[in-house]
Amino acid sequence: MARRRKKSITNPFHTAVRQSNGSPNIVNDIFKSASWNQFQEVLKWSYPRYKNGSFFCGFAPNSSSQLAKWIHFPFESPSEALKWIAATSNFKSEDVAKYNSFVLQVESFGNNFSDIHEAAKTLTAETMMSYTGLGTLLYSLSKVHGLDYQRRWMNKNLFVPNSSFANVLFYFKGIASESGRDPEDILGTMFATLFVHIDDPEFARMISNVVLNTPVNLVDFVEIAKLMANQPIVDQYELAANLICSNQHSLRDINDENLSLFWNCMVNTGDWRAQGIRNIADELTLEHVNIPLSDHHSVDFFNDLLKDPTGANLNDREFRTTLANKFLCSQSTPASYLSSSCYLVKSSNSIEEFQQGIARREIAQAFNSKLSPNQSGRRKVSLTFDDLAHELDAAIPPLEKREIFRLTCLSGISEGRFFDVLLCLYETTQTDKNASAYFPTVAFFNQCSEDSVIDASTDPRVPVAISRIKHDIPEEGNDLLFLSVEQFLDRMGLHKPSELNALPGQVSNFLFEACTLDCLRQSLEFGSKLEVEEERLTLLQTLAKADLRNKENYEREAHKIIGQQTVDELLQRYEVGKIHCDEKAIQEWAKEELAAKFFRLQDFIDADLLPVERDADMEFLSHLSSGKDGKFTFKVPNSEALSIASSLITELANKYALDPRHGIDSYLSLGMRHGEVEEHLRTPLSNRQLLTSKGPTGYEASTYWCGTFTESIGESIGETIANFSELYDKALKDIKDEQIQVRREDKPQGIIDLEWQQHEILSFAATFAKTETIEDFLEEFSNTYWALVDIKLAPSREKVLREIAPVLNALLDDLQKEVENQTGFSRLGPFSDAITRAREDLDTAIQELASWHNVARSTDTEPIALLDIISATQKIVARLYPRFRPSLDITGDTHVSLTSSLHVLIEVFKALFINVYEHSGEDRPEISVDIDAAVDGQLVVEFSSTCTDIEVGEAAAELANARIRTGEYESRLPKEGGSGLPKVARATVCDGQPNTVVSIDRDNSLFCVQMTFSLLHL
Amino acid sequence: MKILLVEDHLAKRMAIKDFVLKEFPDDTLEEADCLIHGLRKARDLEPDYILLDMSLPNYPSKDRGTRATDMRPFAGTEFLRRIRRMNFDTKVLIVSMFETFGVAPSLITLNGLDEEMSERYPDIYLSAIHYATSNDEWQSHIKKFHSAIEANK
Repeated sequence: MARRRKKSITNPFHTAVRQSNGSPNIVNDIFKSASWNQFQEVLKWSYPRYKNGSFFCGFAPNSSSQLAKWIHFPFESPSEALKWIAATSNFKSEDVAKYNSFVLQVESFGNNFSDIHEAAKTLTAETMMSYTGLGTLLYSLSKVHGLDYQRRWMNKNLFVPNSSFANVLFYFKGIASESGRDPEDILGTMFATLFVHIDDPEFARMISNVVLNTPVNLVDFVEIAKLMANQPIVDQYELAANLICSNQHSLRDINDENLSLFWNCMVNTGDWRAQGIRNIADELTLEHVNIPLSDHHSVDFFNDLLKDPTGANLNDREFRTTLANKFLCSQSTPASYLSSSCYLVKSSNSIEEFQQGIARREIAQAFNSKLSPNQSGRRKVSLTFDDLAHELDAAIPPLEKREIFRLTCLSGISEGRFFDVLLCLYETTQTDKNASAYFPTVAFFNQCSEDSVIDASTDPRVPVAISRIKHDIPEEGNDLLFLSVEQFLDRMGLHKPSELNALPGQVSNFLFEACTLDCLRQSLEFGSKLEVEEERLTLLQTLAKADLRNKENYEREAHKIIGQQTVDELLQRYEVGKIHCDEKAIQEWAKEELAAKFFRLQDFIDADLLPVERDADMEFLSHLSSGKDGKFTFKVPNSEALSIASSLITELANKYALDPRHGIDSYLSLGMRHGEVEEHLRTPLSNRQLLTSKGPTGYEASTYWCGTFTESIGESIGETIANFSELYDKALKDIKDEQIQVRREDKPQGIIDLEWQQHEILSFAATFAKTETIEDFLEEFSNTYWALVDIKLAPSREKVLREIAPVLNALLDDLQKEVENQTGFSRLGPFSDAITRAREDLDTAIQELASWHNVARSTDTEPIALLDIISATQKIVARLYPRFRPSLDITGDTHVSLTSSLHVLIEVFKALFINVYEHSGEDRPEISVDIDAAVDGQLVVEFSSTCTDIEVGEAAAELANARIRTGEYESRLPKEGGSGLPKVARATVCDGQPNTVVSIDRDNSLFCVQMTFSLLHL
Repeated sequence: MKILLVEDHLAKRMAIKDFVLKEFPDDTLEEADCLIHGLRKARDLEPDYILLDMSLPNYPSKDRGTRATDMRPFAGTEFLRRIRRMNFDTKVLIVSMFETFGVAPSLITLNGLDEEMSERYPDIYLSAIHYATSNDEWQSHIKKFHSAIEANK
């Protein structure tokens, strides 16, 4: 007898899961209707059966190919999302516990990346692959085996050959794991390459959270949780732990069952953060902050990490990347919580953001010290401007002071005390200039209107404060600074800053820091650039007398202004071309915006991944869409170094060419297209009465020729000219709008083609291996760029002559023919002569237009006579020392001109003149300069001046020669301003040896300096 | 009415000046060829309305164009910002030879600037009109705005 199969009691939840094959909708329905225990049971039953299904496969993947497709799981509240994560984490509590144990293991390994790497590999193999663990794995991999190995490993083991969105996360995780990356730059890259293509903001939030572990509030949490519901459980757990830790100040009062469920999960899986939170003992509140912000352990930690928290040896970017290196390796260790808190506090733009950052520190501190803030002797201070400002005065460690400064300002902003906040900025930056980087500029200007700032500028400290943050002010910082300065002067009943009595202290600071050239050029009191410069020079001279402590700073700037004025005057005489740009502004932009890429590329090069060694082709590995397939393809570059190098070069070249404010095209617009071209090409014809302008009823018929010919012929010519004028103006408009343009997609007929070809990019890419700093790179780029532009402009000039000229000449031909047809005369004396003369003038104008297509940089590109350089330098020195009026005699090869080293030679002659002024003892010494350019590429200059005391002169000459011989002059370069001979010696170095000889001519009582320059462009 | 014309381009300045004086012979017209001089004249004369170019040099330049580093592409917006703080009753009409400023993707159209300035300076800003030698639309615009200002006086 067959045994009857025992009928099992059917579980309706199991049935539902089975029937739907583990579909997310059914799992969601069950999640919403089942009790906590029931749902735990469903997970236990479903996961083994459907772990290869589309929903459950991503819970605990062993490899990237098992990651689940992204879905939106419809949580209705943060509490519901917490319940889900508590359930999944509890279900895989063993794995989560192993992860938590791994976190503390990583902390104990410190900078031993080999051990970290082994631990990360083990974690992935024994539990699951998670984005969180992957960060540590990739970071340690690049530290142990280098970037190249890391990239190859990612290509082999990570990127999946399908449309998984995970590839995007892998790619950015890879960047974040390269070490030396600033999260701000990574976010910038994400925005530029990814977020601009994504419509869903929650997707963007999720990406930045997964890659950078940014703090989450309740709103962000629930949105990200919707996307993470079927992703690795460790990542879900980390998201919820992030919520708990980031919001410790506000969550302590919330009584939520699901919050407790997750909290229990943190405790049960041995999360150190649960211990830290427990140790805090409810001492974090929304209304207070614990001062000092950092306990002794944290102060030591920051001192060790940052070496010099005053920032003296770290620029802003280095400061941020040093911190980021800690928290991008492992996002959840106590050390990473401390470093990320420091980073977050510095970038916070509200008290809430500040508290999110400080909460991480509090948790780590409480864990490390096992003490609550109160137990560790820290005091509760109200989050009010007054209380915090009081603490600011007492704070001692520089980092502590700066952080309290930021919080004080944020509190002041929230209380609307903008004037006090600006005074706080002034006072704090008086003793710590770098603290200005801690001022919450964005938050301040979001709340405080321009008018409020100006109205508050009745105190000189306000404009000074503005000047200290002007580079961070949205839009034009200098405009606001000027309005603030003007307001203060108005209040004092003054028109010009030089009318103020330059007392040391606030007024001196106002004059020096706020009344800068950029600021004063906006004043209505000065009618020209020269007047502005003279005002600034007056201020600097007054300050030098009134404030002796800073005399050197004032004099240095005065020298710079006078020197630049003379150089500008000199260069102006040589300029013919109009192709130029504001290179200084572009380079400033590049230093800020391209630094991240540059440093990243340098890291690749350091790892022997040269940009030009690889195949430049790109491989498209993946694409993304939040349910919008095919909308955007994200390209993971195959040769990262080349990709970065190409992108750096292309971005910079585009900036030079097309930047709307500072680029060549902008200057074309201002220098040529802005009426210049039309006027230039119209004048030859209008001067000959061959053009009329458009009036209310169209182009007016010229009546001029009625006085020359009979009325009917005159009228006929007049009407023909009216028609011709319309055609001619149309042609000019086309030339201006379409041809005098940098060629680009929307201006295909542009005659100035500045685009870098692939071979030019590849050729320049090799330079990266030779440039260590971004300044070196920019200098190299500038040299190459202008050399290339010079070459690329030749076809432009050709096009002006070959393409533009014929169009205009053909129109003149047509005019002539039309007049012939209309009048019946083949030649009409004065009219025909006018056309002929107009053709000649037009030809000259076109030649000039072609010559405008030359580089007109404000550097040494045009040949300049050495005589002019000497004379300009003499002028500079005469302005610096008005009594000094030497008599100058120049002999030898006086015809020599140079196309390079202008600035070097100006510096050399300036040093020589000043040397004579300081040591000759005469106001009107005789100076002779003998020039010898007989040898190719070599310039020998003998500079002799009256020497009244031969013995003293000989001693000085001997000393100078000894210094030059022994190389001691090198060490004196930074300080020596007086004699300046070290500067001269440096300028004559060839093959490592200076070629400067100092001697005394006893017979003629002369102090002589003979210099041999190796110049290539004589 | 007192009119101030701030325009650096000589031919355009002459064309506008000729038109205004011919069309409104009872008006007085003052001229300035750069931002700072324009602001000075505005402050001193308190004109009833101002015809303003968008791109201007900070100071006058003898050989404008050969070295245009002094040019300020958005001088017009700065002019409005400053004039607003001078607190006198005036209206500003931008007359530009260009319909676009900058280069894509940062291209700003004259219409875009018009909207921005209408929002920021509603009390003084009138409109932005396009000037071209090849058409006379700018003339009818100036006439229209002139009448409107006169009617509100």
